[in-house]
Amino acid sequence: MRVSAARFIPASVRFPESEARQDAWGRILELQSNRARFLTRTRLEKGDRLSLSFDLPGEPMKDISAEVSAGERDEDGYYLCVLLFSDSADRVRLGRVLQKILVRS
Amino acid sequence: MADIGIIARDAIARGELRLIVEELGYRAVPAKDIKTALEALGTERPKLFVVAQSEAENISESLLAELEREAPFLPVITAMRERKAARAMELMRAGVFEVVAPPWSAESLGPCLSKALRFKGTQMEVVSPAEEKKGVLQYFLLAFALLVFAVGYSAYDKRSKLALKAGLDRPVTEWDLPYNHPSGLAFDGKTLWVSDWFSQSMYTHHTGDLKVLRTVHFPREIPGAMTFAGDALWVAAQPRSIIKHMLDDTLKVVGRFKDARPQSVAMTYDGLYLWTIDHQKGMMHKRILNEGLSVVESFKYPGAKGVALTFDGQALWSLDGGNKELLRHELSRPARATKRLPLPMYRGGDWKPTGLAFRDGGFWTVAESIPKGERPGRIFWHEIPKDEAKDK
Repeated sequence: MRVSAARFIPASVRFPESEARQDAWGRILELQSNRARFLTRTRLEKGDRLSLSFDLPGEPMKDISAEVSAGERDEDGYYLCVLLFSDSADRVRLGRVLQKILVRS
Repeated sequence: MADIGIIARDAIARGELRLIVEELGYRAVPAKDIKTALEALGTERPKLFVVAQSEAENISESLLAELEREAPFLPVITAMRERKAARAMELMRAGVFEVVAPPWSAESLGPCLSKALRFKGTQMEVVSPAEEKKGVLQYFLLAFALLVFAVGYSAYDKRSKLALKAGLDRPVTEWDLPYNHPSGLAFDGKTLWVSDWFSQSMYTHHTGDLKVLRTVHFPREIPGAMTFAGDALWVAAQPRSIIKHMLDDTLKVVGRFKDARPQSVAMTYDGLYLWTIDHQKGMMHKRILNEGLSVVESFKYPGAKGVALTFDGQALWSLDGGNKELLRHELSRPARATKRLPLPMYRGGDWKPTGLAFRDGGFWTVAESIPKGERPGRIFWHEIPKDEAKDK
């Protein structure tokens, strides 16, 4: 079962393993409990580790650990990436929240 | 060329953003505050707004609230004076399309403008009650056809959809061709010319009912893109050659040249230069009408996969087969698309566009079916929406 939000969910990005990299932001195009498709102006490459924060209805998701599993630059110059959520606790929590949203939709 | 509204209280910031927007090939409509910007909304019709603001200011939120009444779907891009991810998130949650961090430059702002102008949201349509009734009938007949299919009639023909459409008294905007592999399209002012790579033939069609008026077989070439230039028909043919045909009854070959920039998949003539696209390398080439069409200048194609070109008397238009869009290019700066018109009939993935031709008010495109040549080729007519034609 899939639902579509009224608009794309914005998300902020931190790079905890690389202090030199500035915080960034973008939008989540697709979200599952274990992965997300993410569109951003910030250069992201395969293997980059990051923390993703975003709000789901009634539930803020803060510092979800993720790794870029694939990324490409689109013709507008944006980076379209697949993020895999690496922490199993995050995946379980996200799965519960998504389940609630799906049930209510 | 799209108009971009700029709101910046500070004259220096306003000037800075204006320069960047103009450098990117857009027309800037600067304003010092929201009130002035909204006044411009009625006269200049900007396609989006760029707002300069600091972290503490809320100009973008106020603008969004005002636009909710005036133009609710107009994108707003915020150019922040400080880089603050948390504030950027707040703004995006409030409805801002994108937030640009300092330093502002053509490199940082260009992709955001391009994305905001192209990114389409939910498509909405008002359906009149009469059309709704017909729609129900359409679905009923379609469901019936599927039922027939389910009980064993395997040949569910998509033409039935066309027949249904024709029954609704809508103007015909697509025609099946009597051949399956169209590869190029050109308009000579009276008739449509279509090349077919499989039959190695050139067909001319009446523009009203698309009936075939003439067929010419080319035994030595596999024709593709083509255009009329200097009283001749120029054809990009495989393998990697350019053929010049006299415009007589047999289209006699008067020149056969090695293509200086193969493989040309799109071709048009602007009255002075001949333009081609090499979609493998993603380049547009400006060429002169000599042997082999020497390249005088090359440009990066601003789309995913240019497959066809035409000229409307003022600007070049290309068919982007990757994004299923028509792109308009100024002759002076073809590397930047100044307009993008979506082609919904190609979104379903049933057709691969191969040719494009212009006539006042719209375009024809020609397409090969997917999988390749399994069904007859098709010509589509695309009317240019009046509001799009106005700002040409």
